[in-house]
Amino acid sequence: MAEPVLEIRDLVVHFPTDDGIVRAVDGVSVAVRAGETLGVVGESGSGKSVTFLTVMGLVTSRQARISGQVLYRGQDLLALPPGELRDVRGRRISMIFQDPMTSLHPFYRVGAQIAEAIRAHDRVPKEEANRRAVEMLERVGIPRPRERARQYPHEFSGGMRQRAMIAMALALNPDVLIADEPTTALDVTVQAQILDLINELKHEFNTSVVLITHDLGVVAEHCDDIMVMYAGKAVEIGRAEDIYYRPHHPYTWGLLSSIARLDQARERLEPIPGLPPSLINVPSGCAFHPRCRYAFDRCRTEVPALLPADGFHASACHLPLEEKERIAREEVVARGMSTSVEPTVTPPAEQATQPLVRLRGIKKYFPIRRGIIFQRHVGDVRAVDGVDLDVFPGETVGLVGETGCGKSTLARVITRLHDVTEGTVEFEGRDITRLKGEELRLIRRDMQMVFQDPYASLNPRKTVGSIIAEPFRLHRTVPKHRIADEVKQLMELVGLNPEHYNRYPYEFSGGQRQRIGVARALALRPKLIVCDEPVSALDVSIQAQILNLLEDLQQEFNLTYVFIAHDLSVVKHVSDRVAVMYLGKIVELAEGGALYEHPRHPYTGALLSAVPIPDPHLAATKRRILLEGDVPSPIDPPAGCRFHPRCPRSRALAREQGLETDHVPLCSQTEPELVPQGPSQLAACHFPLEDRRIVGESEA
Amino acid sequence: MLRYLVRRTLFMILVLWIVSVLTFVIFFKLPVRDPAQQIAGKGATAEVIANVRHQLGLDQPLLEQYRRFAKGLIPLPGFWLNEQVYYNWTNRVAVWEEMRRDFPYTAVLTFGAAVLWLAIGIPLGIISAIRRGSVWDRAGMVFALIGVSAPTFWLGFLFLWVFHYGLEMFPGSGIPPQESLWGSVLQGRFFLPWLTLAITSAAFYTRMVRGNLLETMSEDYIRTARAKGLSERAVTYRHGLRAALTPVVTMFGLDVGILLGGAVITETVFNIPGIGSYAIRSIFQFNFPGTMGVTVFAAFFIVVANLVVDVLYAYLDPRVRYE
Repeated sequence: MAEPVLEIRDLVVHFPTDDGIVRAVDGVSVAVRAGETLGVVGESGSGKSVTFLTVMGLVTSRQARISGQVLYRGQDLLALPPGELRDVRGRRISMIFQDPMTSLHPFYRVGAQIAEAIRAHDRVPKEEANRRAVEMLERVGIPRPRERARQYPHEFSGGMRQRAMIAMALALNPDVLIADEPTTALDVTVQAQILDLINELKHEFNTSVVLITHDLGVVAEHCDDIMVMYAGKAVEIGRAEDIYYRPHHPYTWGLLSSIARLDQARERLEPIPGLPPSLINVPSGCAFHPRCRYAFDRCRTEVPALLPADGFHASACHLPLEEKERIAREEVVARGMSTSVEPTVTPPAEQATQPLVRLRGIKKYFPIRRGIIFQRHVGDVRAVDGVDLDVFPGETVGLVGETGCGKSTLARVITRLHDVTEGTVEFEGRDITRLKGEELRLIRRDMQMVFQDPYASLNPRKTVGSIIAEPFRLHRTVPKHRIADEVKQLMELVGLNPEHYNRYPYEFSGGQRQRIGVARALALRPKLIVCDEPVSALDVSIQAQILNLLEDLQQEFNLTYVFIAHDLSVVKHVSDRVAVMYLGKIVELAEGGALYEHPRHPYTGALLSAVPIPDPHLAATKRRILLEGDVPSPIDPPAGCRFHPRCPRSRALAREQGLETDHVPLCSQTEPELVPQGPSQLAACHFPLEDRRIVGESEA
Repeated sequence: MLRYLVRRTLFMILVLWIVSVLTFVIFFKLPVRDPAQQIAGKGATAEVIANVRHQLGLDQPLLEQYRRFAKGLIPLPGFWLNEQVYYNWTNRVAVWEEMRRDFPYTAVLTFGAAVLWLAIGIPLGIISAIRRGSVWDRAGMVFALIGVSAPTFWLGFLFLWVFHYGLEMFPGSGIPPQESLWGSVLQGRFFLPWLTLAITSAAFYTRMVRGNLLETMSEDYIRTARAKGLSERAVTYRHGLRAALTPVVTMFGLDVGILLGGAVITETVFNIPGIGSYAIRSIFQFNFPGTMGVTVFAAFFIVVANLVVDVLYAYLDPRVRYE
């Protein structure tokens, strides 16, 4: 193991607020080793970001009470005067952030922003700094760097901006790069590109990396050491193998069993019960005890110390070591290891029944207009461009794809929140494409939506009771005097305390708010619920709770779900069939297991291979198909197969056949139809992938 | 960009035309009194009134009258506010002549006040934001509250009372007709009007700069700038202020545009013979050509200010591009 370059000792960061002291970081000690990657995992409010913002001096003693030490090459950064700290910041230790869309200044050229970072520390002429900025952009894989350096951030895609941020952070060759959720805001294919880039540059520049994330998959693939944080404390620290194969802390166990995994058959998730703790009134003893299945008396009174088990691996839990080892072996890892593929859930007898929803030739174009008074129609955003899809009663159809593929638009078309440009929507055999007024209102009883952001989709000025009662009042399915009872029943059904009937949304956590959203959707006993990214705004442990709730409700009420998510693991977990969308079209439609076992469309293959797997060994052997570039504009989609400009397969075939073009002409000229590829699997590709597994396939 | 400018110009013409139609309709279809009678004076005989009416063209059909006035709004020599139609009904002086005489006073009043309110408002806003919660901040906010709430006419009289009658530091209201404009400026006759006009705007600017800067300083890109290791000064001025001042430019352009069309209250309180005073006089004297001229003139400045602001914005914010 390498020497530490950065050592945090007993760091405490307390924010005084009107409600009390927020104990954001409460005694964290950890080391970042030279040339290695430290992963920091935890849910929101665990203190992971605050810890490293404090290291950077971005949380200052003006905002918070800080104690402890941050040693960088023997120097305590917390004791440095601001001027000297500024010298370290950006030059020796640099940081990139979660949202590349907002992290660059919108008014300055990208190259100039990088040059500014260089000139903040090195007294070099402007031209020299600009030249180095261009050089850095090239090194982070930005094509035409000279030209790009003169562009503004809004002319860059999300992935490109994050590359530019990395270029800025590494411009002065720092010893430590702190990456705070660097890929959370990005699509899975772009995430893979960025993580690989960070890893590559880490070796090239011999930089240590701190990777802060909530995603156990991301850390598994790229980290040497991992620190798991809970309520401002490190609860477990170890090498990556320790954390995944010999985890010692019940919270780590909980995290591992509550994530939906791509490499495992569909089985029930085991969520961590309860809610993340308040950082003002932290529970006594071990902060995790109220949510811990193994808690005993001592846990409630005595704060466990972070004690080493074997050499480096340490955990903060009162359970005896042997007990931890046993539970980890028998209950946690064993479960995770069951990668053998069981026969997947039998799909509902399809052709036998009539589909609940039948979409034919659906197109939804959003016109682009120009002009001040007289608006001219200059083009269309082809959000959905020719989709056929049947959804059968009682099944869950997953819709996946990158940002802008049209999945949310399609969902809104199904529920008639958008009018279609072309095509028909049938519900229970009835054409509802053009329904209006009263008839549309009646049909909406049978179809409801659950939205992504439980913070924005609930009216903050209404009580929870009246939010859930809204459908009853609109549709008058329940007599007035019975509404309150019904609402309370619903609340109980979705796991909310009916006594909280009169509370307002802000008094609830994200997971509870999503339960409110589910209750509202369920009120009219609909046949179909369209869930648009229902768990993507939630913490991992809470995601599992909501996913389980949705599954239980489906069984109880024989619900049909259309489930949209960008997280392929989550979609796989909940769906019977999955439709993969790319630029407004379905490119592959298959029963869940089959799709993940042997994807036929190269895009599906690439998507799946980009998903990080929370298993270091498996991740190390995984073959990754990296997609180049970004999704093209839906205003002017590529001719032929829409995917062909990014398609590694078409490119490889062209090379094999010795063609002069980059792609096989068939792909660049003819649009493939969605045709059967084996039993219950459809793919729109001229050269579908052979039978093979992407996940778990070794390099050899 | 050129296409954009052409289309915006056409749009401006449309707006000005609508303004002129509305002015015309308000004047002729909602008359408080008969303009001819008003101009002929009290006790005029019916014959005199008819005569006046004929002279002013008020006996012609409404459409014909509109045609005459509309012709004078075509911005070409020979048409533009031509003296055959656009003359002051009370003293027969050409409207154009009168406006050219009065406009310099309004311009001096506006630009002087603008410099003053920027010089007060922006620094005060910046100090309040970066020393949030300090004595400076609280003092700045008290000033802003008073400035925003105090009516202009009241402030004007207050300043006259304190600085002219009380301390005798500055001359009072009114500008001697024989004095040249620059002479009046040098005499300090404009100082109190400037101050009056500037205080209200400065208060708004202080609030706006403070709010914008506070908001900007919590943006992610400010965190990035700090993480680069820039000095706090560079972070605040180069990154924070640059973004925070952009909306101020919009407001400034519009404010100046509006005032150039006449600072009615301030000009009245301080008895400054500017466009605002002329507008008031024209309205009270039933001088329709004057009213029309001033209205279109003021609307013109507002529309042009809007265009200038939009074009400037595209230059200041690279995300904004016009086609």
